[in-house]
Amino acid sequence: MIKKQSIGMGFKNVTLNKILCIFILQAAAILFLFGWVFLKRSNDLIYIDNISLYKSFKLTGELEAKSQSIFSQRAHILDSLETNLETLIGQIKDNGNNELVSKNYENAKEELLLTRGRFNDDNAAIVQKFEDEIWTQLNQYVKDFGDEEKLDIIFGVAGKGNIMYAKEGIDRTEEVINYVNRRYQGFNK
Amino acid sequence: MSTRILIIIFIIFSFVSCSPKVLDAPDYVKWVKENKAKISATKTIDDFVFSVEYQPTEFLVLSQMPNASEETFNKEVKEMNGLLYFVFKVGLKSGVESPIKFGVTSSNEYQERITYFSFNVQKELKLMINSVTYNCVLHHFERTYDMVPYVTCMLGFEKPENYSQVLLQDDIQFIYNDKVWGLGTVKLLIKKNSINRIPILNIPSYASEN
Repeated sequence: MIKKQSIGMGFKNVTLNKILCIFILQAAAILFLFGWVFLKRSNDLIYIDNISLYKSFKLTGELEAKSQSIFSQRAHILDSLETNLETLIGQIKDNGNNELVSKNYENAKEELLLTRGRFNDDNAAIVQKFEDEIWTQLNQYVKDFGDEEKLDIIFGVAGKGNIMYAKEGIDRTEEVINYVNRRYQGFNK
Repeated sequence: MSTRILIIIFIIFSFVSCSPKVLDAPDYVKWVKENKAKISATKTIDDFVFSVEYQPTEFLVLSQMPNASEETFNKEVKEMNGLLYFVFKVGLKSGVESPIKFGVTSSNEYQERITYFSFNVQKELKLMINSVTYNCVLHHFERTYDMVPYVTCMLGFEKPENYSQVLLQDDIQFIYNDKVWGLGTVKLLIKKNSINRIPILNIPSYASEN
């Protein structure tokens, strides 16, 4: 009788242990899945500061230097034309009603106005062209970053003021800046 | 003792595996053709795919004159050895049409692009090695009349002094300042290790001089 009871108790213990093990394993699996899904979800959405990205992109610096060089040369040309115009104004004051001087003055004034207008339009076109070139490359590299990191969305915000709150780790601006600059230089990652 | 032997074997193996192989001409040409991806760089920007492939001088000469005598071969290599050669290709991601036609709105614009690639693109191409810029001094645009969906240019650049394919210390950065498709400056990088591992051609008198 006692033997049967102890066998029965032993059997119950083994069964209880088994059930306990299964329960613990299931709980662990559920916790793991929950944690994995939660962590995965929170890493699929990131944001980057577009202004910092644009300013820190190496191509931006190169094109800015190029455009400054062009604008500077044009500023010199305009300075020369203005200096010439001022000289002619002085001549008009000294020579009274000299027709030739007046005509030269009118021509010089027209040339200055036309050149200034042309340079202004062209400078604006250059700025726009360079911006387009920069964003074409930036968009490609940011897209590649998203593909490699298997992200769902990359939000581009214009300055950090747009984000009221973000969990740590969601702002990956610095990481993306390093990535786009390496890609621009020709490195694969 | 056995650990020491293993370490010695490992060091010898590493040294041997890192050194470039020495190959006869047919094997050499086959190696370069089969390993094009290793000595080239590719980049996709927007709708365009850019690629640049390094061309060893010996490979170029053998490709053009596969049955040349040793003397002729050596003479040609010596003549061509003053430059670094590359094949530069631009294609579309779609692969449907030639990029020269892409976005073109008139036949004049198309012709301007042909003229640009035939005569004017050279000054927009540079190499940068160890922060020194080298100009493109030789340029040949392969005119295919849009039969193939890419643009190909054969290029020759100034060569750095004391340049050695086997002992190259710096990556080669290829720079193209795009003036046609609004993409800006496109940079591609060929890693120095890829160039270092190009086999040495086994031509007795040539090998002894180099």
